[in-house]
Amino acid sequence: MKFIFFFTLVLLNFISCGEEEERPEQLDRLRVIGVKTNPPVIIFDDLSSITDFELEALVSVPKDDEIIDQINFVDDSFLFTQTIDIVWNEPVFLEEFSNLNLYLIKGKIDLDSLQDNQQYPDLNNDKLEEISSYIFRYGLEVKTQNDNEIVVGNFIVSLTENEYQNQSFNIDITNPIDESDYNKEEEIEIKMNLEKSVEEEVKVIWFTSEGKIENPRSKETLLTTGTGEGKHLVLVGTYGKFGYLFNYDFVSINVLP
Amino acid sequence: MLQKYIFVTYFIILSIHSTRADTSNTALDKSTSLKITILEKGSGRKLKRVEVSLGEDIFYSDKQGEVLLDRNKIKGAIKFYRAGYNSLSIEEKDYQDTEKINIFLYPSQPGGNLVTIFGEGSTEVSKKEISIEEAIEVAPRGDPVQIIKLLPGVQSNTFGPRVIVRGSEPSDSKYLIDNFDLPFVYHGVGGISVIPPKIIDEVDFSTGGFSSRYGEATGGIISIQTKKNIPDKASIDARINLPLYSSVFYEAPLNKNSAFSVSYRRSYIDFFVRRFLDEQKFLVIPTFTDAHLQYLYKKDSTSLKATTVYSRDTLELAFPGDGADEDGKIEFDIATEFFVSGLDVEKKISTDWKMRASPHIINTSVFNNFQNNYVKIWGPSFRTPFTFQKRLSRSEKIKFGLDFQYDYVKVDIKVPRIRRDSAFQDFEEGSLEKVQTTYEEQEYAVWSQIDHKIGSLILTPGLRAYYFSKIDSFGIDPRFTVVWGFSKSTEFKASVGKFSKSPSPQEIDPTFGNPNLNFENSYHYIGGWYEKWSQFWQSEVQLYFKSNKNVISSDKEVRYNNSSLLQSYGFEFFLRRLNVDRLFGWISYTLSKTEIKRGNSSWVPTRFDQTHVLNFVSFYRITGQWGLGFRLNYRTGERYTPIDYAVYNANLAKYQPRYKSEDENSKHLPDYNQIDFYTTYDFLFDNWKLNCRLGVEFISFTKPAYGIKYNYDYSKADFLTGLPPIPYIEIRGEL
Repeated sequence: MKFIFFFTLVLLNFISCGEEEERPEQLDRLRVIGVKTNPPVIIFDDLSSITDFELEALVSVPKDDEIIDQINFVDDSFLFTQTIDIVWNEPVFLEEFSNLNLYLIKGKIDLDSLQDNQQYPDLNNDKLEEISSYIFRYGLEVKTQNDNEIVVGNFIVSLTENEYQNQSFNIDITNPIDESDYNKEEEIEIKMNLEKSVEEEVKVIWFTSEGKIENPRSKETLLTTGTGEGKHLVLVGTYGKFGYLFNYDFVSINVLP
Repeated sequence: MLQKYIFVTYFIILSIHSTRADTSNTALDKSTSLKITILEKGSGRKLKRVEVSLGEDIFYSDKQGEVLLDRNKIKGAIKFYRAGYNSLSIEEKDYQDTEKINIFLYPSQPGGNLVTIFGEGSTEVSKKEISIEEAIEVAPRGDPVQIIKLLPGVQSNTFGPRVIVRGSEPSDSKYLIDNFDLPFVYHGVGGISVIPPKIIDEVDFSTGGFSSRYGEATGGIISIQTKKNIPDKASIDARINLPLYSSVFYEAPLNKNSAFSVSYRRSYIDFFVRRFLDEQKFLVIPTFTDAHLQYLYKKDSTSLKATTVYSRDTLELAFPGDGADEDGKIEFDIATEFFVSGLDVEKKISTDWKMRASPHIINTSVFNNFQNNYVKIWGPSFRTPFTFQKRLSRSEKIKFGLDFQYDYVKVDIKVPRIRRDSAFQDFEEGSLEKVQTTYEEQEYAVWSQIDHKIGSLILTPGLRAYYFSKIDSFGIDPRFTVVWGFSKSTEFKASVGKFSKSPSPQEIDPTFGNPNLNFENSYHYIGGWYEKWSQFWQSEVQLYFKSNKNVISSDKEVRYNNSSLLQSYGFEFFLRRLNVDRLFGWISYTLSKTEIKRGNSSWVPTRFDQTHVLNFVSFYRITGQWGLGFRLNYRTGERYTPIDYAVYNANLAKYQPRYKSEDENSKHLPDYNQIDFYTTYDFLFDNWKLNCRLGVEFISFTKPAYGIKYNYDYSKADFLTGLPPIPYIEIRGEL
């Protein structure tokens, strides 16, 4: 019964969000969009043979701002999971748009520390569904001149063969076409294609540098371009709920004067 | 005393006159007589003991509502009078050409059964009585069970359907109908009770210090008693409430010793919702249904009720949100259903002995689907409470009883494992658990209580001993109440006792909880002063302190443990104008504090901590058919935990709040106020009536806040406001 009222509240909350509310799909401030792990899952027995385990954070920074620091963050508020330290490198420039820049920030994990048995919490608390796996939590704090953003996430160290191991989502934006022209405040159908090499619950999130997206969580929806002209970003990210697989695709559109 | 004297005198006079009237009636020849049948306008019910004045002669109607008058002696107007009805006079021309005439009297004051609201202590001594008519007039939506929410010691929350008693969790209170356990008493929509108002005889409500008869509760007891008497005639009650529900109720006597009643109610908000919401964007469809069937038998010293109550609440919800799947929607499908069926037998074995047995079965099912997760919990519980009562002497009475319960629950769930007591637990982030299991438990309890009267003192010591097989633990709860009748209008009361509750199945489940948990214990200390100031006014003041030990909560290391403490203390005031005049109602005020201490951390307020709760309730009867009602509720805003900072979860593509443990429930929403206005009018026809109730709810001085909402990254917060004044209309036909 409690659920009914909780969700009524959620609904009221949703209904009360007007059109003019801040929109999470608009990349108008420093944002970390997602983090890829490579490989997606570490097999415990392979730890000694793996030479590289890398994290890659996709970051959007407003044009008038710049990254000044990227440091490890320990999320000790998160319960029942171990945290692990990451060494984060300088950001790598990816692409420029009219009002933002995209960067990649890469991080490396000390694999020796993963082999330390002390790192592994009680298995009963942290197993995935029918899989004997450990979950580790990483964190990154990105600082710019005007803003800062903390991002956290998990990766899996599996004791056995894992269904998410060496898997990924292949995604591509089928509409709009890269570098196509549109007018200001024009309604565009945006679509993406998603191929999953593993059965997984996936969240889809659309982002844009300017404009409004009708339902940013749907594979097919509508984008209304903004009032500014120039090269705009349309990006889609996919987030695997249990295997923590992340992938993204983006196109640019030209909004005409 | 004066009232009692008048009452006795009235009946002596009445019986003398009735004898006289009956004697004269039997001697009359029908061809020379006038037969008058006196009935109640609006129901057609025959009225006995109506005073019929014919000049200086006075007669009284018999049990059939009839008076037989000698035509030769009738001259001029005949007057009719009965307390509670408007006087009526008929002229000679109205009856001169007829042998029979029906007279309908209009009610001037409603009468009816009593809803009994009990306070602490001995139930007989400290009870407060509110007529069911009064309860129907003043309670939200005319629902007598909701009157509890307007009494002292009850914290309010706008959307919660259950009762928070003196800071306790709603699940710490017990809900009963005729001694049968109910999983809950209110529907999710509108807080409507699951029991039709027409079958209710009493609502017993205790906010603490209750009898040893009750176990498995540390908060309060809400016990609904259904009607005990066989109805005079068949009746039907149909009701249309806009925008909430429609219902139909029927009762009929089978013979002079037995009767049955049946009812059905269904909400229709779903029809409106489907019309007004764009289902492509979001969808919310709540529904509720309830029904009952009861057979009542009453003869000599035995009464038997066979009752079945059914209730079902559903919610279908789909909207775009943080947990949405690839189609961009979060979908929930929730159904909670129960039926309770049992026998409630009361028998007076001898002059001194009474017994009551209430074996019953409760079948509960909860089926929830949300996204790809599901919760299916269903199964029966069987409970057999027995109560015996023996009068030992004029000043001493013993009650004792046995209680056995067997629970069998099937569980099939696939859900994220989360902490129930965490303010910001994210269900998307809990590790997914899939469990198929059965849960079996036996509970055994024995209890005893003695009411011992010494002069103006009534001492009530009690003891309850119990055993729960699932945790393999025994417990003993001693309780003691003293009532001092200082004078005929003044009473002082005190109560102290231990109350216990076993862990829930989820809390002791090996996967989701901790199998090593033990009972939660609550110690109640209560003192009160009751004063009857006049025939119109009475008041009650209570002070209480409640200390809970072994409270179940979680910390970072262990999910669910008995290491927390909870305390609640406060002051309650109840001033009431009784239902003896055109105006009645009350003011109830509660000042309280409720805190929890988790392990070694410091005391922090609980989410149910509400410093001030004020209710002003009144109803004014303009005529016997027309009344105006007013309710005001003021309370301290609900507690919430402020956010320290937020992080972006790259796995879930959403921001998550973080908070400091010492800030738990440290802030509260703006104070809440609500005013409800309504009017009721009875359109009376000869044998049936149409009752209209028209009102506006949720009027407020300031925009009320129901919660707090954040922007997508928790950098901005605002209060969740809404619910404009909601008009409603209810039309009820009673035949």
